[in-house]
Amino acid sequence: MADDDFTLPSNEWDVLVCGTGVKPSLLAAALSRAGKRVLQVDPNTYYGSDSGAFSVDELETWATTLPPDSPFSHATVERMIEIARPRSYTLTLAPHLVYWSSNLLELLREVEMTSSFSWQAVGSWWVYLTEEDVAARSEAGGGIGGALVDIGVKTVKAGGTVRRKAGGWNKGRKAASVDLSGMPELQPAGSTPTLRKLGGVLREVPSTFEDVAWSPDLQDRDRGYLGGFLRFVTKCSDPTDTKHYTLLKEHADTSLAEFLSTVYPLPPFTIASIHSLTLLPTSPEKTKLRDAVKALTTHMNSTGRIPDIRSAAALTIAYGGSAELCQVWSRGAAVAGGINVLACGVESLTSGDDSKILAKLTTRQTVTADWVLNTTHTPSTTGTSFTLSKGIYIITSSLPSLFAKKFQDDRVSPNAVVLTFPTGSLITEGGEKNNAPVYIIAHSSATGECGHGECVLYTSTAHLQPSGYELSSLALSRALQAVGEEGAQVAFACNYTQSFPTTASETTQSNGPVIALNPLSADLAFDDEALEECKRVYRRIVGEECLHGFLEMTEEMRRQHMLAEGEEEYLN
Amino acid sequence: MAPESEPTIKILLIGPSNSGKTALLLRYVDDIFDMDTATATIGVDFRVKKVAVKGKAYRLLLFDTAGQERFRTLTSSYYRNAQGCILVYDVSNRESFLSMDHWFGECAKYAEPGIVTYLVGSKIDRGGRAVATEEGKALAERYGAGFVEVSSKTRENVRTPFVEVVDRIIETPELMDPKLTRKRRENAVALDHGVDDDTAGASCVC
Ligand SMILES: Cc1cc2nc3c(=O)[nH]c(=O)nc-3n(C[C@H](O)[C@H](O)[C@H](O)COP(=O)(O)OP(=O)(O)OC[C@H]3O[C@@H](n4cnc5c(N)ncnc54)[C@H](O)[C@@H]3O)c2cc1C
Ligand SMILES: Nc1nc2c(ncn2[C@@H]2O[C@H](COP(=O)(O)OP(=O)(O)O)[C@@H](O)[C@H]2O)c(=O)[nH]1
Ligand SMILES: [Mg+2]
Repeated sequence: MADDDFTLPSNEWDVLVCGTGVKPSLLAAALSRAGKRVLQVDPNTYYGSDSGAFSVDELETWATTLPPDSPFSHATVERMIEIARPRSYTLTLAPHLVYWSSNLLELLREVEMTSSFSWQAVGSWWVYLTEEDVAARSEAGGGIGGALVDIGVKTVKAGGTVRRKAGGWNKGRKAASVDLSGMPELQPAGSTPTLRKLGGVLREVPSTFEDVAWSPDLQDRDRGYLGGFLRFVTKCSDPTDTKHYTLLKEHADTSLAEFLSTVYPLPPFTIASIHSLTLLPTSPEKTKLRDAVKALTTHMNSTGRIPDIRSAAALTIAYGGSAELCQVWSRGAAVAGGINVLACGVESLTSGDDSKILAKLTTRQTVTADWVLNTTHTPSTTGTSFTLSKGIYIITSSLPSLFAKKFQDDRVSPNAVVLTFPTGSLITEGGEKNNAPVYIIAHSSATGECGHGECVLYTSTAHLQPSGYELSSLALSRALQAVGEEGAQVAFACNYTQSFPTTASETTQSNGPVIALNPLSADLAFDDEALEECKRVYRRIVGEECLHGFLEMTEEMRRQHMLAEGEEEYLN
Repeated sequence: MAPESEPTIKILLIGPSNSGKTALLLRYVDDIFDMDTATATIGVDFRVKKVAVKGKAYRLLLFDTAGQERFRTLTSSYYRNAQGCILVYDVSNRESFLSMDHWFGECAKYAEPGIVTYLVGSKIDRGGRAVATEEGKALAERYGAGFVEVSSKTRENVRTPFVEVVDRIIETPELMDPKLTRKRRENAVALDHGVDDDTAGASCVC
């Protein structure tokens, strides 16, 4: 190409950033904006590293070659039917949910970067439960939580009863469940919130007191305990609330399943449904209460807070979730004067003069840097790793009933939803049941990831391949059956295995000026710790006395942004 | 209520490195031309220019590549929601002209369908022309793009590509009708209001 030459404009840099994943890209942008000379390189030919996004063609290439030294393995791809525009898709390795209360949104608001992205709402959580699942009740005795049974639920229910003069409790319960298979049916405006059901098996997960009060699947006794548990979740991190605080302390390492069958005795199907809100890969039996509570707190802190869509708790970033973050932040680094080079790795690092690091690049250039940021793929030698079976599926239907508005007065409709298949709800042809939940994150075409009339379903389960892949596909076909869309087919499927460090280490490994960032955690939602780690590394590099806030715009950028916004216009 | 603000129009500049994109942008927005600021990026995501077309005001957001094209690392996110794209080659550099098929391809791949494209041959003040005007015109026609040759140094025609792209965008209802252009935005979640709005009754657990 004309005049393109690949000579770097300089051999001396303040920071050499290796990789274009979420953390390296964020740090590249933040450090460039703080005036550091940043060279960002990535051995891959695409942005995003482990959080990249691809067209169908690119994903096929990725899966058949898999980058070396990556956490990926066992990738398979299949095109079931012809895809008209394989180059137009944006299929992501990182379809993270972003909770409304997350520190990511807080940061992006602070630095006025929210408008660099198109935000779509994640609607309801749905859990796969058959009538038998709901009918099977455990032999639960009166747990100690019985004493804590919440009056909140009773109040809501009482209020609701007043509102619906139309009939008694039983009548209300019948009306409460709208079967949406076939034609999606919207609720009449101003009605009591109800829990929907799709195809008789996908049930909306109750996550608020109102949901609990009106759930048609719950008996009144469960309602009390479930309300009590929700209250426990909202109170237990407050040391002044001795009762709930001590209860958590005592049971922190108890499994969620045990806690919920003894302290707040609830039937297994309700435990599965509560567990689905945690998005944790482990089964309820293997999920520690402390971890569940942390995840549930995040969920509940976000529920009902999004002004445009009260029924949602989380968002997703269009065009590939965290993959889009990587691209926007990498460009951010370039705009502030940094250089991005793809297809360029680091061959070796040695100490040079003046405590500078000499980096030999795979493009046969050698550069010096005061700091080098790396990402470790292999978790610290002492740590262990665990793996998830992941899947990406293109569906030839827009599945409108999944993305229907829950409340008529929500300004926008959801363009993503979470479906959970609880542990033991699926069985392979070989007779193996899923030993961990299978999650499906469904994205509509409004995410820009597929064409109109299609959607993309991302699966994730801790059940290992090959059965993990079979179970994921099984979950997928059950979901398609339940939403009852005529002619909905899988057009394309990609399965792969990704390994993660077991515990997100709070310490960033470093060897003097060479800092190894931890890989992103396995969480399905954007991990708050990712930003915390980046901020710590940033402070170390710019120094505590630096006044330039993390990722803050430069003065000139601020001026242009003010001009662009005018009175109240935002560019999306 | 705040007065209705001008509609914004997002326009991108793309093309090979050194073809004169940044020079064109700076000449149009700030009326400056500096041989020495050669590879300088503009240091901001975009520049803003207010224009009036038939008595109606618009706010143009003009996005530059930030030099990412130099290492062929332009991000696809750069193209999101743009209504217009100006593709720039250097008339004194044949290779830059030959790369334009690649750039039209990038634009078709990543931009919204229906985006207005405009081909610009730059640096006509320089001797040693390597691309005939007719060739540029023919290429533009093939892609249904507008076409002009410019010099950022002498100012010749520098306003033309911007003015004509804006005209074409305004004339294209699908690109300007608020209902259509804002469809994605309408369906997207707004993040900048009511964060602490506590009327969120559904989750109130007090
Ligand atoms: C993978 C892929 C494959 C494609 N294949 C084809 C193809 O084969 N043929 C073809 O003509 N085009 C195809 N497109 C282009 C795409 O469908 C275009 O958006 C559409 O053709 C242009 O329609 P429009 O101009 O009416 O855009 P609009 O309808 O104005 O769309 C603007 C955006 O708003 C959102 N949107 C629109 N309607 C809805 C809705 N009902 N619910 C939620 N969000 C909505 C979408 O995200 C859309 O991109 C493909 C796009 C992708 C990403
Ligand atoms: N003579 C002349 N030189 C130009 C013109 N436009 C740009 N240049 C020079 O060409 C070089 C590359 O321009 P630049 O705008 O940085 O290209 P970009 O990489 O496409 O942004 C610089 O040295 C400019 O000064 C022009 O119209 N005439
Ligand atoms: Mg430039």
